[in-house]
Amino acid sequence: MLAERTITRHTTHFTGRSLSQRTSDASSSAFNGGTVFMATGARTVRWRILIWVLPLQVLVFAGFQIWLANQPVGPVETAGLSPAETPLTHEQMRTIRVGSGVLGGAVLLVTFLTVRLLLDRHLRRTTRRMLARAAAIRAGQPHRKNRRHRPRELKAIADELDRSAQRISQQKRELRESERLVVVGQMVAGLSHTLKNILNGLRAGQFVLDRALKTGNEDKLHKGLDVTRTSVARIERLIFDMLNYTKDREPKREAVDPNHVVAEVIEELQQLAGSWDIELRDETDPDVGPAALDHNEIFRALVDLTTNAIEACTEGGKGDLVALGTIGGEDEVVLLVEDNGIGMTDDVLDHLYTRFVSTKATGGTGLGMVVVKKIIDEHGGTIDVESAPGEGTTFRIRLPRAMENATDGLQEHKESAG
Amino acid sequence: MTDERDVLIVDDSEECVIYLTEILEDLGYPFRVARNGKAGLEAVRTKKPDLVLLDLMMPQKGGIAVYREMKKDPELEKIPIFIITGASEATGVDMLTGEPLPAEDYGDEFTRRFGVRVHGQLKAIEPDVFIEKPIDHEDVARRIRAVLE
Repeated sequence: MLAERTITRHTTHFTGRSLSQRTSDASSSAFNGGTVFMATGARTVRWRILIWVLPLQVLVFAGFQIWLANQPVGPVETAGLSPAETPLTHEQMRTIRVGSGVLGGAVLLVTFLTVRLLLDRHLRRTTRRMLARAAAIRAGQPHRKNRRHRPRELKAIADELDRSAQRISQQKRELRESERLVVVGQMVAGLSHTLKNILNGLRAGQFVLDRALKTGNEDKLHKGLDVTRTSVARIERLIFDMLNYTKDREPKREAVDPNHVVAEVIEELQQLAGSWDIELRDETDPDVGPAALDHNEIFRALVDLTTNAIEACTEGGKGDLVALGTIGGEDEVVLLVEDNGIGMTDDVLDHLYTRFVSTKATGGTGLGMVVVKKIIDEHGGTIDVESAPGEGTTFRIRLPRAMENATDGLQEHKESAG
Repeated sequence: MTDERDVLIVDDSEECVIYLTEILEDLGYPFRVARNGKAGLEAVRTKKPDLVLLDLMMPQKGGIAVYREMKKDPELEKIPIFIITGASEATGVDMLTGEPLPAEDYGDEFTRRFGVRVHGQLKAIEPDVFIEKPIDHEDVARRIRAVLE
């Protein structure tokens, strides 16, 4: 930088024009345009000023030589001249010419080498900067616009880089938008599918009620009301599931005895299972030990899985047993929900956690398993399933104990259970 | 005449069965109900019905499989079949997989014929009538009468 400044001052001196004059046409200057460039507000003059140094030095040197050549050469006897004004002798003239020639040549060489050095450095730096930006574009980092690249050829590359970065970020935006639309489309399609099925139930109920009134058949009246009630319950369920599905939250972890949750689930669903002559069996491990779980969420997930298991039993297979179990591991607890019902085909298994896909005869919301998986995910656990058509299904949930995250909730639940 | 007509409902959904049986009762046609595809095929083979109302998504054997087996059987291929489904789509998303449907699945012959958009395996079948859920009982009653009388 020091060298640049020094040379700049020289140049200013040589050209005899003021810097401010040159700055005015600098913005339109081209690579070889030959005007001195100064950035607005910048203190230093650009390297391009150096391009003037060499030709100006040549001009000055040539001018000096011409001036020298036009000097009268002595000795000449001229009356009236003082000794100080005596023209130079041939000897003196040669010394000056050789001396100025050597000096001029040396200055030109030094200038040339400096210009080359600075130009090389500038090109290296600019290229490196552009490479870094190209790499940033590739890495998908936010792009900073290239601003100060000279010469024109490098500027053109830099601009092209800018345009590529712009295009890429625009394409990214478009891609995100279209992905969002696909998700929204799936949600809307799934939701309308589920709603159509519920509406079908409501229409069925309405039609049956209508006919019951026309025929005065009380049995039909009950049947119509039942169908309507089921549909209304499905809407409530759908709203609950949707809210649960979209809610993004941390589980409220408290020390929970998994066996206690299982006992609650069995109590909750005993009647439903009994009405189909299905045994709900408690196969918990008494030494399972506590884990830091969101009690309500895990209860909900188990109720969902167990309800599914009971329904699977009503649809086929041997269909007389649903067993809920626990296994205590060192860092994790395992919850098991096992049935000997109809089982699932690969096709059903593939879409187990797909939104709004339901195979239930009674009509699911298509969100039940999605919400179950979400609850397990939020706990940092895993859920897997084994199923064979006609033989039954086993869901296995693994949950980390994570006792360090627990608030003290075990006591409270034991009391409420008692 | 109507007394001799026999309609077979093959559907696993409780409310759909109640709805369809009510419609048939109202029309005065006798009916039988099978709760899955396998039972449906058995019922068809036991006694040839005059019309089959067939749901698509069922355990054991789906509606498409039942449709194909009936069309393969020379004894059964003439029996009219109404397909009942909520799987038809107007939003460009496959209900069975949740995947977006390719654009070429729109506006095809099937759509023009049945007024609904379907894709893939559904396009391979040609039911006499496509009934979309939610069922419009007046429309279904009219179509059933048209086939049976």
